[in-house]
Amino acid sequence: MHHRLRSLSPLLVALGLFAQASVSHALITIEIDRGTSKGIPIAIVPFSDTRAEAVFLDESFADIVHNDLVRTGRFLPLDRDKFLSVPHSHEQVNFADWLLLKVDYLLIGTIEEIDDSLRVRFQLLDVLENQQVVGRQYTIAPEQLRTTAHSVAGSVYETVTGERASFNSRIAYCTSENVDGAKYYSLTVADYDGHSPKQILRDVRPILSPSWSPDSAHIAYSVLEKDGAKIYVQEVATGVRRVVREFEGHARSPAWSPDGDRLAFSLSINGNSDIYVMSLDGGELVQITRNLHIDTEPTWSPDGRRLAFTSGRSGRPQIYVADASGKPSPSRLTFEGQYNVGASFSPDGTHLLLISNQGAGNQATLYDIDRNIFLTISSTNIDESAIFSPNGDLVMYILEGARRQLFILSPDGSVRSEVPVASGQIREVAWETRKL
Amino acid sequence: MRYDIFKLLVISLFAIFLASCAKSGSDVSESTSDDSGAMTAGAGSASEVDGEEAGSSSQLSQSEMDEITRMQELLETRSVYFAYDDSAVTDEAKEVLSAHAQRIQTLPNTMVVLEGHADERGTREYNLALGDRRAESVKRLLAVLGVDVSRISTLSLGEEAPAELGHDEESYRLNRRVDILYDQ
Repeated sequence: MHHRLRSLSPLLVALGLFAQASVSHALITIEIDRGTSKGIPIAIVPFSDTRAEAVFLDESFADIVHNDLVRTGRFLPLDRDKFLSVPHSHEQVNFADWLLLKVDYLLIGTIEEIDDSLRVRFQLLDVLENQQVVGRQYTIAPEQLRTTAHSVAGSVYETVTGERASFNSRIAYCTSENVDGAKYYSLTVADYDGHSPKQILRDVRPILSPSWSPDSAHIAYSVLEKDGAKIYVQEVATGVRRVVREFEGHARSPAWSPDGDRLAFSLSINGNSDIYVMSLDGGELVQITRNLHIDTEPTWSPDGRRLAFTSGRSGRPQIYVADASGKPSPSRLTFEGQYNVGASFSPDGTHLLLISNQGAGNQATLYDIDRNIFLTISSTNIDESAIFSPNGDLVMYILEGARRQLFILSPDGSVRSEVPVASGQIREVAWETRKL
Repeated sequence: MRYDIFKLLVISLFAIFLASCAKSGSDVSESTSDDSGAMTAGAGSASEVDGEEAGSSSQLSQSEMDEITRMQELLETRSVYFAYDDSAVTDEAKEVLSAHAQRIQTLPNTMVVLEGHADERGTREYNLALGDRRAESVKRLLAVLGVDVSRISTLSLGEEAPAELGHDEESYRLNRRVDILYDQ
């Protein structure tokens, strides 16, 4: 197979972006399967707020913390209407009130205006031990209140579980919509919970497979242009983008390596797709698969040494793994199920998250690589594309069907909540990989 | 078989020529009976054509008329369909593609674009690869049937451009397709 490869000089496209999109956050429905829930009971008391005007109309500070924690499946916040008292500092707490409600932890705090800044204080208390576990104080600009709520939730998560949370992370998602009879595709960056969406690209051609650079400064994606699919790399802050390389054939499915130096992708020539790895500095091109079957959707292991990918070489699509150097030949990972696609590694490298059909439809599924065990985590069966958060505390997936939806799912499958999206119907999502 | 198709092509082109004569107001009887709507010149009856107006005479039998109708139906079919997760050309598709192969060869300046598609289930990238394979399957068959491959280009749109917007088996079936697009 012969193909010409030429580097293109960077195409500077000032897209004049950051169109603010509007999204309704009025009601966030969180579905908890209490039968399987192993959440730690916690009471999150609304913070006292002495500001002249509230910043949010849709979510209070305590709501943001509540939603962050409950979505992980690790915490089960108590309903506020059960509270017997509303303390804001340790001295105000009557622990008997909380022991009665059988909560393990109590989160309380205050928000005050100090000149043009805000001072936010929180305390996490262990109800049984009757003492503070962690307490912090932040002095922030008013615009940072939301981020601070995510940080408070992150502190609670880390203190109790010993693991990091991803509450201040961002996602990039693709949507499509019909405007005046024409179809448009958009690429939007938002907080992981859907807040503050910013459109960074709009096109009449389909935009696919966004992939964040490890430092989150760039996103790679492919566009199905009329003369062939092309992979672009775009700077998130400025909108400046370039085609990474010209190929004879369709370049799709880009995946940024953990070290930031390479892109794995699929190249389709004469109807046959194979996986390649290219250096972003324009140098090397390594061919990873060589066969006349579908090979696509490469995804990097966290150590950057291996690539898992989807291959049709055994008849139905299954997941294979290959060394990123291209040698030796790929080996098959999945042997169960009639359809296994869309894999990605968990941040600790022990599992794959993929879409698997084991007879009950397409479901977001965890696959334990060493033990060769599949665990279906989704309760729906028209799932399309599932991804992990940077710290592995959350999963996000897309539900196909008449009304496409973006969901956050706890990794144990017990909690599901919808993420509102701007600019049309959700088609695809990518989580940044930076562990903040 | 190939010779028969060629003969049918000639007959159908001739019939179209006759139809255009009918439209210009000659004595050739226009069909008002409607059982084979595709034909516009004297169908549905033991068609007698006014030899002088047409420039020559031809008597078409019922079976030949049926074959012409069938040929036109095949040419009007611009999509061929596939089984789930499959890119093999079906027998039905082969019939349609044979008709198109013949037609393409009679239109020397025409380029053909084969657009591959998939139903929405599963991931977008896998469906793009599947659409690629379907388009390529059709291209290979057309090549075997004598079409010059330099006249054919392929493109995959995966699940991005469904023909049917429903989410049931019938909609899925109609979306697993290759569209044959003539580009003048």
